[in-house]
Parts: sequence; structure tokens; C-alpha cells
Amino acid sequence: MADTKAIANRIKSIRDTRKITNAMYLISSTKLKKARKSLDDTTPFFHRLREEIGVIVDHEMVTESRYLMTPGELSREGRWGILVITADKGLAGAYNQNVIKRTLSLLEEYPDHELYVVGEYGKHFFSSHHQEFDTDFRFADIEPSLYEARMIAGYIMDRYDRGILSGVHIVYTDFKNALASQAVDMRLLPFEKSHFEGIAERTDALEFEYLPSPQAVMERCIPVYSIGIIYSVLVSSFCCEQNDRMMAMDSADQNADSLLEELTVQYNHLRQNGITQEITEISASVKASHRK
Amino acid sequence: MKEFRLQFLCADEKEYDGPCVSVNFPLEDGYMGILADHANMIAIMETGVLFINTGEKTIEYAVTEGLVEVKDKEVLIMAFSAEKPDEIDENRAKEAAMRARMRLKRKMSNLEFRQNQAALSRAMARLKVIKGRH
Repeated sequence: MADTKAIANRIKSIRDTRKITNAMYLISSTKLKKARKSLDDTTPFFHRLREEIGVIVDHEMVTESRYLMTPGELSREGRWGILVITADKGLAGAYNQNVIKRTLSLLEEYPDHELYVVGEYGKHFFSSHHQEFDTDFRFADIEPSLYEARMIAGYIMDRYDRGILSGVHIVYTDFKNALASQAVDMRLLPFEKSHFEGIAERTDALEFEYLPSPQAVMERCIPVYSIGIIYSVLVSSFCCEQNDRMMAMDSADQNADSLLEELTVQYNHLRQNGITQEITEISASVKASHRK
Repeated sequence: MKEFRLQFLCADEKEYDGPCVSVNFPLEDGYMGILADHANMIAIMETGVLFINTGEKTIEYAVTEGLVEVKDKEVLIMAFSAEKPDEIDENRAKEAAMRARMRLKRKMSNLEFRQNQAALSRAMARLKVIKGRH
């Protein structure tokens, strides 16, 4: 009967694991909902900010700014900052690998770079692959918050303002919907002028008095706006992470279910065999004793 | 006093939307007040204390940097964050101010200097708002 015992043990261990994966699934789904809601709360503010910058850009009140450029001016020269957003944990399908793959190809495109990594997984990967990254840049990927986004933006903006960086890329995972997510890279700085063009409804901007000047107003708005972008990128990545984890856990649940089914059948089969054998033995021995 | 509509937006919520008699906010070089029928303008608001007079009472907020816009006699204030007096922990604000001051005395990098300076002005704004409460 040792065999049935082994199977019973296996069934128990699969049940226990299934409980864990199921719990992880539920946790991820609540986290996902929460993160999306907090992102929605911030949209009006940052959209408005973009409009304000848009008015200034539309009316060409500012002709030159270190934050803005037209597509033709883009050059890959100088040192580029690359911000990578990974998760703190694995167990989320190919989520982390996709981001890392994308980053590695970007690093080749920009040989002179500084790498900023959010999330333990990415840090671990890059340090074990001897890829240098900025170790002063320490931000975990727990739950994205505006506070964190502000710290990250402050760190990067400071290096950009001082001219150390000539541009900044972000590699993150874009959350389109629950089925389609994709690791993408986006240029954060300098902004393309067209990003702000034509979104403002207002056309009467020239009647506004700018204190102290349009340039100053714009240069104040853009760093704040970039906090919004970094925040949305953090939330988008976070949503994908949770979503990928949900899918991974869901398929783990399904695998566990089919394994359990198979093992239960096996277990019952063996048990029934044992019982049948016992009955045969007993009846055989009864017959034998009658013959005497 | 004549009233006008005021909207006050923070990064993660709408703080206020309603009638208002006057608004006072910090600029780089002092305070600026807005009454009804102000001309169109956009101004940079600095970290400090914002006063909103609704006619019945004056609400104070400790705000961080943002924008103030007057358009068609309506006022829009956008601040990255805002705190009312009852949301502020006095001891924490005091501690933060002290920490920032201590750190400012040390030698440090450009970034740290600016971060500490910003932290100090935020803490001072909070403390100012609290003073009005007692």
C-alpha cells in the first residue's frame, strides 16, 4: 500500500500549492484594480498641465528650450539616461524578461549611457550580467506612488538640467488591456514639440499675461508634467506585472486542477485494486477452509 | 464682495470647486492676491501657504509648486500637492524642518541641496498653516 500513500502525499502537496497560487491570483487582481483607480485620479491634473504647455508651444511664445525639440534635431550623441522598470519579484510569466530584452537592445543603440533600474529583479539581472547601472538610484517597485514618481523624476531631471544627460529613455511595459501588454521604450526627454501641439482648445492665449514669463511657466510645467509621465509609466508597468502574474497563477491553478484530477483517478484505481485483491484473498481462503 | 468660481486641482484629487471671494498665493517674490474680475493671466505658484476666502471663511493650504490661471474671470489653481491644517502632523513637520536645516549646513551635491531646500520650504509652509489653527 506504499504506492497509495505516495500518491496521497502528492495530492496534498499539490492542493497546498494551489491554495498559494490561488491567493496570489486574488491579491494581484485587487492590486491591479487599486493601481488603475489611483492612476485615473491623477489624469485630470496632468492632462491640464499638458494643455497649458500646449498653449505656449502652439503660439510659439517659446522658441527654444532645453526640454523641447523638433524631430529633425534628434541626435543620439551625448550620454543618454535609460530608465528601466522591472518588478521586485518574479512569478509573472515573461514580464521581466521582455523588459530586459528590450533594454539590452536599447543599450546597444546608445553606447554612452547611464542605466537606472527600478525593481529588484532588474537590478539582480544586470548585476549578475556585469552590466553597470547607477547604484545611487534606489527605488523599489512596491506600489507606485506619486511620491516615488516625484523622487525618480527629480533624480533624472537634475542630471538632465546639469547637462550630464542629453536625453532620457524609459523602458516599461505598456498596459493596453488585459490581453495585450508589450515592453516598449519611450523617449522622456527632450520632449517632442508635437507632443504638446494641438491639444489645447484655447486659441486666445495671446491675451494672457504670463508671470514671470512664458518660458519660465513652461519650464516649471515640464518637470511636473514629467512626474506625471513617470507615474503613469510606473502604474502601467505595475498593472502589467499584476496582470501577467494573474495569468501565470491562473494557468498554475489549471495545471494543478488537471494534475489533481489525474492523480485522484490513479489513487482511486489503486485503492480499489487493493480492496479487490483483499476480497479475493479472503474469499479464496474461506473457500479453502470449507473444503477441509 | 463679488464672487467668482474657483477650481483647485491637486495631482491626485480635486481639492475645491466652488464660489470664492479672494485667493492669495505665494509667488517667487512675495504674495499675490486675486479678486473677482481679474484679467487673464498665468502665474507660477511657489511652495508656501495658499489662502482661499470663500466669503464665509478662509481656508489655508500648505501647497507645493504649481500654477495659477485666471481665464474668463474663473480661477484655476493647480498644485502638485496640498494639505489642510488638520491633515498636517505638527511634530513631523517640525522634525522635517529641522532635518532639512541641518542637512543644508553640510556640504553636499547640487541635487541634495535642492531637495533639502524644497523639503525645508514644504515643512515651513506646513508649520505656517498649522499656526493659524491654534
